[in-house]
This record gives sequence, structure tokens and C-alpha cells, in this order.
Amino acid sequence: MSKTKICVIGSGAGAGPVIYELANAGYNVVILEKGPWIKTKDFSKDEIGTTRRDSFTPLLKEEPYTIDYETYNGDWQPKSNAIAGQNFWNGSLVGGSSNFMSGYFHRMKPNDFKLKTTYGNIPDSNIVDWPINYQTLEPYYDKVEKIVGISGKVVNHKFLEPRSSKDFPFPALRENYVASMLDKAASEMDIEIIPNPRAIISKKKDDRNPCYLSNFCGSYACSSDAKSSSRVALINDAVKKDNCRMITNAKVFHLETNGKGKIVKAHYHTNDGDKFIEADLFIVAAQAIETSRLLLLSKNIDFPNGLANNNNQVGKNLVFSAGGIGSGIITYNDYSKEISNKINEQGSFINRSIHQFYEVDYKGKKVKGGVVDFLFEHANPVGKAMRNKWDYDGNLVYGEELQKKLKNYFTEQRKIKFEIFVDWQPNDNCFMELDKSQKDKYGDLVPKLRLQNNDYDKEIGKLLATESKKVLKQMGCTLIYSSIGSAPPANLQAGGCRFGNDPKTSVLDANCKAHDVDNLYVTDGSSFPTGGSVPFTWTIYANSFRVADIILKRLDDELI
Amino acid sequence: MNKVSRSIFLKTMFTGALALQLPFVFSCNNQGVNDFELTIDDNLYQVNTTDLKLVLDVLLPTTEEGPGALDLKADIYFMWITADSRVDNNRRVTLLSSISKINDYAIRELKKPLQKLSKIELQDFIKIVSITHWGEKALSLTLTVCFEAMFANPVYGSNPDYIGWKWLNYQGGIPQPNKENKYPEILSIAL
Repeated sequence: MSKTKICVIGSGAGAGPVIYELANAGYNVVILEKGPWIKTKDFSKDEIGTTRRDSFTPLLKEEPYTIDYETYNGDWQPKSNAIAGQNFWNGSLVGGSSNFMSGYFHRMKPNDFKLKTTYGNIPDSNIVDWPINYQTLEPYYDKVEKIVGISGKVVNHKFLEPRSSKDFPFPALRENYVASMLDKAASEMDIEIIPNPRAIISKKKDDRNPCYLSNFCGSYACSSDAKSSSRVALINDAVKKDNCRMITNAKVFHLETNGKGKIVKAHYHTNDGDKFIEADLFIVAAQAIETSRLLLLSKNIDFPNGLANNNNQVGKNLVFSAGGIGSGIITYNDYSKEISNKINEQGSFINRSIHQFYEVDYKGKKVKGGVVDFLFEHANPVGKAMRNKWDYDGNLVYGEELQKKLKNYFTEQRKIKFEIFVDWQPNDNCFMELDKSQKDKYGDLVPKLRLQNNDYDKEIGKLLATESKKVLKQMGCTLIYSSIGSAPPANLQAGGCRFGNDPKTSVLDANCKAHDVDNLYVTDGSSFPTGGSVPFTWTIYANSFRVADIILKRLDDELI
Repeated sequence: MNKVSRSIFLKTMFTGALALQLPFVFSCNNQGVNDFELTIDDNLYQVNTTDLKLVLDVLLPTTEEGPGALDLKADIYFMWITADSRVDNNRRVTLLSSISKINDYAIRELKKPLQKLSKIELQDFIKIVSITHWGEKALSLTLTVCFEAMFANPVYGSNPDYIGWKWLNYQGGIPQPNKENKYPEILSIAL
């Protein structure tokens, strides 16, 4: 076993691949995870504990964030989310938020790595090209399919990304009849609709059992280990090695340097007081906001603005994977008993997406569009019931009228949703910094977020919503609705530590090593200058595998 | 009957999330408790359980359509959720103060407390409450309590014999929580 000691902070999708690769290569890996290690057997499909009481995230009154809200006159008013809401914690436990993802996986497309070069600048945005291209990342997308586990079926379409493997290693999950209805509707409209890859395995892989169609996927941990969380797919294997150790309930709050630009210790809070660990190499993957926060909290004489922040770039240019949502209703009475039973089948998936709108015409110009996923409304019954509390005039509904409404909603119809993903243009009003007036329960300064998106993104989102609603109408849905919003999805965050070739405008180099700190790497989505018009997770996994290879080569070449 | 014997002083019994046990609340309720009291941020809140049941029975009555809030044990669930320090304090305070606020409003507007209103009067009055800003918020939050009681696994003490689930053909996901890993026990596992 190598004596080189590597400290990884975090254990989610950005951490899992480096942990897996470095541990399997024989390096001494210590993982500091803020939360506990909850095993598969301890999870259940309990809406009360999981989503109503948020058992797996901190209480906002103990670990709040401050969020800037724009006032009517253009000023910014800070408010604690302990009062105003908007929770940006996504899973403080081994495996992080990957435990709770839905696993709708998309690769970024080649043009997403050179967005500015391909489509030009967008007013009021800070778009830059990535310092790496699709070809560099493709082998790692492929690796994620095989090691982490992605199911699906590759079909050719106009915007299919170049692939080194013919098809996914796991066949597509069981599809609901609604998928065929969407296929037919899209075909009639001459729209390409394709099966959506999922980070859920459909057949056994090592200790992991295949998907059992629980109907409670997103927001819940998987009870068969079919979902390809970092915990299940990577960390469970890595910690079997004697050289890989997990320290749970360890909230890192400071990275100490030696006065020569090198980190020597990670200090962390525990239930038994503060402790530290020494290492040769440090890898931070705490999810975008917390990663930037840790670097800013780690300021010292060497780094007065925060670690790796000599050019004041840490925390800048946060991006989110967002766009909008829409839905339509299928009424069982419109179909035969046989067909309505098929539509009502619980657990099976729609798993369809449209990439045809990746490029759209806007104001006479071809511009970047986005991707649309189709899915069922989440099965959470309390959430569904709450959507029935008001009538169309906005009056509260209760009593027998509410009972009739609930009965109809739950037993006589099914809601089909779509989710739109367009680019979130990085901009000067989307960033995090430390709120110097607020501390959390540990006594650490809390993040202060400003989260404005670009009106341009909303315009593109509207275009996609219009087209998506036509598809729902064509397949026979009623009560079709869409909403294009500016709210950032808390679970799909990236940026804050851009990678690039110029230290003046980026925090990390192309290898995701800090420009200013020789033994610091960041492997979550923090490095992304833009996020593509897709959820980030597949790319986070892939990039972490890429950086793992870079670190392994470096460790082979030199003794840190 | 003196107040001490008729009330549950939840502030002394519920010292933290891990002490939250719905069966305890049940046992208290079965002793004919009329009020329960709770202190949040040094403010004392008192809820008359008869008034609570009257309001719940209007929001979700037992009808031919389906089970009512009291069938679902939403009154007990209401006590449990408001005693849970992990639940947002604003939500708890709104819930706790809403019942007495509704009763006070009835006394002011109708010159009668809730318990003196006929069934029709009560229904008409709740309609009036529901179109006030504060009343809509309070009743909406109380309905959410009913929904949680309706869809919680019976291991939580509400939704007895899955009556809420059966009514709406809701199947629940597998595995369901058990005594060891339901909330708040899952928090102990997480430590």
C-alpha cells in the first residue's frame, strides 16, 4: 500500500469516483463525510420521515443559508432561509444527494463544451468554453455507464452524442403504456422522442439487485441498491479495502496550509469536539455551494481571501440545471378498462425525452435550446393531495367537495409531467459568499447566496414548453399546463470554482487542481463553467473519474 | 376537574425529537384530555381538543365519500406534529394558535363559541374563516395535517387499518417504515 495519504471531503457523486479509483489503486484514502452512514436496510419508502420531515438534511434553524432577494426597486434584501425557506441541503449522509436522485441521466453534448464559441455570447452572462472537450470526457461517460450503472437503449437521433459503446450495459427499465402513447404522439408530429437513460440498473450487478419498480424513486433511497448512488455503486466497494476509511459525522470547516501554499490538515467538527486529519493530497467534493464555502472559510495569512481565491473567483458563477415544468392529465374514462389499467400500472416508467429542441430558432437565429424529460407525477400522496386544496378560483376546498376531488384525482386520472432543462447562463448576480453576520450551530459563517437567472433562459424555456405541451395534447391529455420559473433547483447546483486555463478568471486548472494550491483538487460540479441543458450528475461522475486518472498519473510520476 | 389533570403539558414531555412517540399522545388522549399546552420560544400555546375536533370534522368530515379527519386520527396527529421541534416553528405556532383564534373569531362575530354553534352554523362560519387571509392559511395548514394523517403508515398511529389508503386505492412503496426505522427513530440510526 502506498504511504501517500489522500483526504476526500464529501462522499456524493463528485467524490465517489475518485474514492473508488484511488482506493482500488492502493492509496491510503480517508473520507470525511458530514453526515451519517445509513445502510440500505434502514431506508424505507416513508413519506413522513423522508420528505415531510427531511430526516436526511440539517435543520435550517441550525444550519441556515442567507439568500438575497431582489426588491421591487432593484435592491437586494438578505433573508435567512430558516425564515424564508428555500433549502439548499440535499442529503447529509454517505453518498450525499445521489442517494435521492431520480437518475434521469443525460450526457452533455459536444457543443456544450464550447457554448460561447458555437452560439456566441448572451447579454448579461459570463459564458466561457470549457477547458476540455467532449472527446476528452467521452471515455469517462462510458465508464460511468459500466461501473456506476446506467440502463437504457441507444437510438439514433439528430443530437445523439458520439459514443464509444454501442449501447448501455443494462437494458431499459420496464416502461409504462404511456411511453408508447408518447411515442405515437411524437411520431405523428414528426418529433424525435427517445428512451431516457436512467442511473438505475435493470439486472443484478455484483451485490446490487435490479430495480423492483418501487414507484418511489426520486427523493428516496433505493432498497434494492439498483439506483446508482455514489454510496452503493462506488463507496461500498472502495471501503472493502483496508486502505480506505470513512469518517462519518465529520463536518470539515477549515483546510490548514503550511505557509508554502500546500494544505496539511483538514479540521472538522464532530460530536466529540473538533479534530483534524493530516494528508498529502486533499480532494473537495461537498456539492457546489458547500465546496466554495469551505474554501472561503479556510482563509489564512497565506490566503487572505480564502483558499484558492487569490483572484476572487471562488463562489462566483453558480449555475443550476433548470428550465420549467409542465403537465397534463390522462382520464381513465377516456380509455378502455384494459388500457386504463395499463396506464395506472404503478412503478413502471415513462422514460422518454426529447432532444430535438437542443437547437431552436429564436428571433431569427439558431440558438441553444434544451432537453425535455417526460415522467409521471411523483407518487408522494401528501404532495398530490396538497395540490387539491384549492379550486380554480383560488378558494380553499374542504369538506365533502375535497373528498370528491381527492377521490377523482387519486383513482380516475393520472398526471403526466414534463421537465424542461435549458442552460442557466452564469452571471454576476448568481454567486455565493460568506455572510459575515450569520453563523450556524457549529459557529461557522453561513453561505450567502444570490441566485438570479437570466431572462433569456426563461424565453428559451417558454419555447420548449410550447412544443412540449403540443405533444401532451396530441397524446390526449387535458388540463395541460406549464410554468417557466427562475427558481434554482437546490439539488442541481454547480459552478463556484470554475476550471479554466487563466488563473485570473478561474479557480481550478483544466485538471481540476487549484491554480493556487498544489495539493487541492475539486471534483464535484463546482468546476463547471456552464452545465449544458441537462441534469449534471452524469457529467459530475464522469469528470470525477477523469480527475482520478489525472491524480493517479501524477502520483505515479511523483511522490507528493 | 382541575386543569392539571385535564391537560397534557407537552412542553415537559416532549424534550426532543427522539422523545416523540405518537403512542404516548394516544394514551394521554384516551384519558379524556380537553386541552394540551405547548411552549415554543417561551410562548405558551393552549389548544382545546374539543374545538380542534370540531374544526377538523368540518374540514374533512366522515361522509359516504370517505373517511373523516377523526377516523384518520388527525386530531392526535395534530398534537404530535405541533410537539415536534424539528417541524418549522412558524408552522407549529400557526397550527397551535389557529384553533383558539378561530374560536375567538366566532365569539366576536357570532357571539358564541365554536362548541355552541349548530352543525350548519359551524360549517357556515368555517366558510367565512376560510376566506380571511389568516383563516385560509390556518385551515390550509390544518388540512395538510389531515393529509399526513391520512397517508402516514399506521405505524405512526394515524390512518388505522390503512383506511386512508384503501379509500384512495393508494398502495404505498415497499419497504414501508417499521418501528425501528420510522421517524424519529431514523434520526437515531443516523447518529
